[in-house]
Formats: sequence, C-alpha cells, structure tokens
Amino acid sequence: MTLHTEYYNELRLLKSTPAKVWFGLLLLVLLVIPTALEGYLLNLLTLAAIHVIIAIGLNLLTGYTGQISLGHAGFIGIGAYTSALLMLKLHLPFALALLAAGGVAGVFGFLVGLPALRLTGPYLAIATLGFGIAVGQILVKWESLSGGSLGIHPPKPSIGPLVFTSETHFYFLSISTMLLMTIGAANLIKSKIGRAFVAIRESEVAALAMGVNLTLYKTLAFAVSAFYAGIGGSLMGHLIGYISPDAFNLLVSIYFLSMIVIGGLASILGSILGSILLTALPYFLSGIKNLPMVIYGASLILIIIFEPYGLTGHWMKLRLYWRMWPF
Amino acid sequence: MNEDGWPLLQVEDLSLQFGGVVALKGVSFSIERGTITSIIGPNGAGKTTIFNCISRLYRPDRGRIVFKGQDLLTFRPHQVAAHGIARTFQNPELFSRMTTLENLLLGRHCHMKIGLLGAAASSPSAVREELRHREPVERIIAFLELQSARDQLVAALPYGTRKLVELGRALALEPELLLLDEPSAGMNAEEKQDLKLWIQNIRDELGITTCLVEHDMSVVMEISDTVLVLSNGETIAVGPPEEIQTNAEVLAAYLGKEDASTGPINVA
Repeated sequence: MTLHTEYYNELRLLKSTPAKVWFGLLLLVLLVIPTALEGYLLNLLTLAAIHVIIAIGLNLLTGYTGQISLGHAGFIGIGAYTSALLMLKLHLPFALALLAAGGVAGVFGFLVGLPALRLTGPYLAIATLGFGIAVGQILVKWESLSGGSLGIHPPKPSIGPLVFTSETHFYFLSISTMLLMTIGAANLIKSKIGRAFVAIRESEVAALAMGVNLTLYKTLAFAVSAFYAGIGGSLMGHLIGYISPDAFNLLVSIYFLSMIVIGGLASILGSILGSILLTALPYFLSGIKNLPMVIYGASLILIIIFEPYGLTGHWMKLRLYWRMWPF
Repeated sequence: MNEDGWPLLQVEDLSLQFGGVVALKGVSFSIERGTITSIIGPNGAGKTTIFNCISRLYRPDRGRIVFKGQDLLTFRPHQVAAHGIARTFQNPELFSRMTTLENLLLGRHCHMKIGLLGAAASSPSAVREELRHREPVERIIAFLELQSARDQLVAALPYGTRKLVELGRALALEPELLLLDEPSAGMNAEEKQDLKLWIQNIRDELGITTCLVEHDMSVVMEISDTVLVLSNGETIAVGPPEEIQTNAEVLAAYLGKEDASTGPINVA
C-alpha cells in the first residue's frame, strides 16, 4: 500500500469493512422502522433525529470550538419562526423556507459570535443566555409578525408534488436531513476548518501564531452551529404543527447542552447517543411529571464527575476492554 | 517599500513599556537570510517581548519592524504566519487533545484554501488538498523522528517530545523566519545534542532563517552566527559568538560588575 492510499484511507469516514457493514445495517433498520412502528413512537424517533441535528450543531460550537452557548433555544426559535412565516406569509416552498431558516439562524449566530471574540467562559455563557431570553421576549412582543404568545401554526411542508402529511413522511424527511447534516459535520471536523475549531479550543495564542484567523473561525463556528439549530427548529415546528415563544426558553438550551455533555463533548457519536437518550427518557418516565428534569440534572452532575467524555467515553472504554480481553 | 536591499528582518528602535516597567528600550538589530541568530540575556531582559512584538501579540510604543521590506506592524496577528514567520513558545503551546499529526497539519493552515461547503461535502478538491498537505507533514515527522508519536495525543507525550512537536508544527508552516523561544528548556543532554543538529539542518537543508531565545550557552555558542545580548530591555552587545564570549559588558551583565561591593558571582 503506498503512502498516498494510506492517507486517503485515513480521510474516509468509514474506514474498515465492519464499519461499512454496520452503517449499511443501520440504514436498513432506519428504512424498515416505519413498517414496525407507528404513531407516537415513530414521532418520538423523528423528534430524536431532529434533536440529533441540533445537538451536533451545538457540539461543533461547544465541544469542538470550546465556546459555550446558553442561547441555542434562540437559534432554534429563529429557525422555526423563519420557516413558518416564510411559508405562511410569502408562500415560499418548503425547501427554500427550510434553507432560509438555517440561513437566518446562521446570520444571528454570526452576530452572537462577535461578542464571543472578547468573552470567554461564564461571561460568554451570560451573553448567550441574554440572547436566548431576548429572542423569546421579542417573539412575544412582536405580535404583528409572530402572533405573540398565542403562537402560530407552521403549515404542512411539501417538496414538489410530495406533501409531508403522514408521520412516515416526516420520519423520512427528518432522518434524511439528519444523515446529510451528520455526514457534513463529520467531514467538516476532519477538514482544515474542523482542525482550526479544535485549535481555538486548545490554545488561542498558538492558533493565532499558526495563522488561524480567530475572528473568522469563532464567528464561523457560531454561524454553523446556529445553522444546524435553525434547520432543526424549522423541522420541529413543521412536525409539531404549532410553535409559540415559550417553546424556546432557557430550559430548551440547557436540555441540548445536557445532551452533548451526557453523550460526549467533541463527539458526533456522543451527540447522537445523548439526543436519543434524552428524547426517549420522558417517554419511559412519563408517569411522573418532573422526574425527567431531575434525571437530566443528576446525570449531568454524575457524568461531569465520573465520565468527562460522556457516554462515548464509556463506549470507547468498553470497546477497548473487549479488544484486550481477557487481559 | 520593497524587498530589495532589506535584510529578512529589521528591528528599529523598538520600545515597549508595561505601566512603569520598561520591557524594551530602543532595541535595534537585523537578521540576514540563512543565518542563526540567538538572543540572550538575564531573565526579564525583554527577549520574549521581542518575539511577542514580532508575532503582533504586543504593540510596541515606538519603533518599527520590517520583514522582507514590508512594515510588519501593519499586519494583523493572524497574518504574520501567512507572511512566513512561525514561532514556538517558552512553555509549549500545543493543541493537547489533538494528535501529533493533527498538530502538524494545523501548521499547514495558511496554505490550505478549502471553503466551508467543500469541506462539509468532502469534495474531491478538498480530499486532494488534504492529501497534498500530508506529504510535507510526513516529511517533517520523519525529519524530527516523531514517528512513534505520530498518532498519539500530544497531552500524553513527554515534555521533550512535546517541544519537538511544537518545532515540527512551526516547520510545517514552511516559514522563512523561525522564532524559537527557549527550544532546549527541559531537554536532557542527548536531546540538546539532537536539537543543535536539527537547528543547523533547518538552516542548511531547509534554508530557513532561525532566531532563538536561549539560556543554554553551549547551544548558543555552538550554532549561532550572530548573538544579540539584551539586559534590562537594552542591547548591550551584538556580534559573532566568539566576540560575545569575551565582551566585558556581557560578562558584567551575566556575572555582575567586578567593582560591585559583592564581588563577581562565581559560576562554576
């Protein structure tokens, strides 16, 4: 094997044959799921896919670039309202509205990223927190545009002749968007841009000395992350069919932050595991009203103390354990 | 201004004050292409401050820095690297949770042009670019004998190796001027021997001009073409190593003045 092909293999997302087989199986399972599940459970899975999109976006910002955001609900809200309003008021086709939702959220992400050039840690957390709360307040007050606290009903989306009316349609729409955006994020991380993100997290001064434009890459991380949130918000709005400002409050931001901390920071797999776990949790604990919140909080504390790399870290250890077994 | 007639780097009358502390007082020197220059001096003499002015981390109060005939003080900090200046830090500033390979690849950052969409789609041109930049990086890994550390997280490497990774990352930039801040600090005798050879090879084989801040006199005297001695932010001597070794002012700064009441400090 020449060096060139060796480097090429390192660049591919699925490196080994078993990895390809597993990925193929996963696709197959995702394809047949709608025939086995329906109703609430299928919707839950659709919601999990949407959560994966948002969690991966947040992980790009917080896990990889090291910039905390407590205002992600704001970006999700902007995405949901942009897409719904463009379809309701300007009668734009859904595909355009979806992209615009990501785009508008991305522009806001860029703007929120500007103060991040001077703020770090808790100060950045407070700045982004303020942004998240402001979005909610503006949506309540700007009644002529947003319908105020009563909310609005995003229409059923359609692409060309294909109208997404049933749960199965929504499932495939969300799963395929999720797969595309996951692959995009995985590619990005392995590229020059992903390396610059991680470099900023690890040492700003060294990144600067190596020619990384901190202004550009920090605001880019915010914009990309907000783009993911905007797309997720748009899909969420159309899936549920009703959005109101209080659906995008501080708890939502913390909820997504818990997902990536519990799943694993700076890990795509972690974002996926965390999203699925936290989306499924309320279903299994639906008997007791506030228990999910208690569990988020408790697991957040336990994970930070005992497993800083989250569920992914645990998975890596297990894999290593089996590979090394019986030693 | 153009490149003709200018040395690679010219520093003129550089002065910088932090509050009441004078860090640099009218320092001037120049670095010719293809040479190794060492900056020495007691702690607090302003050696690293010069590097930080060249990296645009500090803004000097007075004076100018001319690199390849261009006014370096008009560059923004991240542009310094793209113009051909790479540096290392006194305490290695590495990307600890990245592998050695990834650290070195980051050194290629300025040379890579791929945009956001190309990167996210892993387009053929993105893949080609990534592969193209692997080659110089792998050559540097071989040059510095870092093969065993190649895929390890930098945080797990011993101190001496981390310093080499930092040197490798700076080399990956393919700079014209390499600034090394105490490259031999924390290295054992054997590693220092290797380092001397490498710095000379960097000049002779890669044609890179090097400027180092260094405390180890054996390193300074053996490899430097020019030595610049600073004390309290002022230049007290410039010249070839053999001249510096016998310079009375340098001896005074390092060993204490002979007429001082405490007498000369005895360094064995």
